[in-house]
Amino acid sequence: MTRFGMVIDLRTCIGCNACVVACTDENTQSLGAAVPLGARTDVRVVERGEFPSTSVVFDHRICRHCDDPPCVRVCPTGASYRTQEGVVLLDRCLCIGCKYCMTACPFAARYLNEELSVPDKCTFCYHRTSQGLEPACVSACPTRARVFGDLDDPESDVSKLVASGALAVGAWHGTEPKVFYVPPVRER
Amino acid sequence: MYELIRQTFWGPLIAIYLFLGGLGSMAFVASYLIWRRKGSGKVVAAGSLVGIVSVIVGILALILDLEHPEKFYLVLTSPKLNFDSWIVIGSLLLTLFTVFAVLFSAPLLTEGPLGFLKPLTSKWSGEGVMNLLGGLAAIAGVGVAIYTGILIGIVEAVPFWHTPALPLLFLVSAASTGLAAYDVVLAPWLLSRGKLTGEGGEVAEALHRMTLLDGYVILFEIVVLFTYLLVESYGPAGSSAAVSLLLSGELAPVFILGVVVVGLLIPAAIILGYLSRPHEVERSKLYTALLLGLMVLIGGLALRYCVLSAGYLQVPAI
Repeated sequence: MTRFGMVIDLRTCIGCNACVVACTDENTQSLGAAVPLGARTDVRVVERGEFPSTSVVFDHRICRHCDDPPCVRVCPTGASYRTQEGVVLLDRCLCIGCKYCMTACPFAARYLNEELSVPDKCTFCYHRTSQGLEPACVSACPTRARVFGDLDDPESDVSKLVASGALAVGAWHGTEPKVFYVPPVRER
Repeated sequence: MYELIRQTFWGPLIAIYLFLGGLGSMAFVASYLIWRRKGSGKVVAAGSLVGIVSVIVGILALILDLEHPEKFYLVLTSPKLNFDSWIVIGSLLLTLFTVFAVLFSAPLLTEGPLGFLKPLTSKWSGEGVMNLLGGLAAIAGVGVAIYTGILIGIVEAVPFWHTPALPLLFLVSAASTGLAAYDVVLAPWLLSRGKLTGEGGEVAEALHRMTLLDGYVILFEIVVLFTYLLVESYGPAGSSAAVSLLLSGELAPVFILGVVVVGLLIPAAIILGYLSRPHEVERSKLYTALLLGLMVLIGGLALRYCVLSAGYLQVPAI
């Protein structure tokens, strides 16, 4: 079986926001409605510590495509669902816009798309990845900080990064997220 | 690390639904129990009517809050209906409650201008059938009242909501506001009638006893609310931030004034200190009952709004 997952390597992320722009560009076309910048995925500059021992982290917000997704559990109409590859998607025809998925997501990964009036989210660029392509954000990243692949294939880059200690941030929610983070190297 | 994000997805319309759903279903439950004890027919009819109308208005608020209200029927007819979803379970409870409560109440309400429907409603006005219909509606009604708390109580992402105290708090508040609704409806009716004799006296007596009962329910609610906030104030971060928001933050005016003072402390003090004194039911007491009934309702609505609005998502960060 294929289980899509992503690793975000904060050792190499330079905070250029190319992923954010590529996401908006790609998905505004695939959705047929404006996906605002930073809506499906976002990179925020988080400052840590106090002078002189300070550091900067680029925190990436994105849907974790959980294996046990709370948004799917609470959805009344079955509009939110998981594909065979474990990608969490939304069937717009069935969505009534109750926003239960938005309150239920521990990662605040959904936003309300004003144009379509649906709680839109990252699709792992399913229209691309189901055809063997990479998600737009991964293709656009100049430092290869975002890595995409099959978590069930031990030889894939994502599997190797996970095996070498990439963290499932927020895993204590028990939702089995499939986006992992390699923490940045601290200067001191 | 984490980041706190205040939820803005569910606002005033959902608060109105949580309030009216609880109030209406418990007002009906009270009416059914009075009917079983052969209490005043006027009180039973008024309670059933208030219950059904409140729940229906609540359902309308719920539908209006949808981003696609025109597709609301999918909540029970979707080809991929998810019976694990509490919105589906809640919609079933609301539907069952409304159907059974309307059937139970119809024979009681087909009098006066609606008298022409009597030949129809008399088909199920036998006591056994009525008892069954009312009982089923009452069971669904208690379900609706608890469900308003379960709906948000199961949301693990918002720690302030994710506690068994919340459905209990909403259930107790539903009982309290359901009883207070009788004051708001029946006190003006009694005042417009003049003398409190005959049927009026019977209704006034029933109203007096229900108001007294509400006093004890409110006392219990104060204990539940206090315990809830106390435990939540110890965390996690999303919970303690919510408690601060209610007690000393942006929501403090609504919470402390609306919920605690107007909705709980003053009504409890008036009912248990003044109204419970054993003397004749007088007209002046009806004004008091009407006023404190309104205060309890304001408090109930403010409680739902405050709990919803204080919900923080505690989002994990690297």
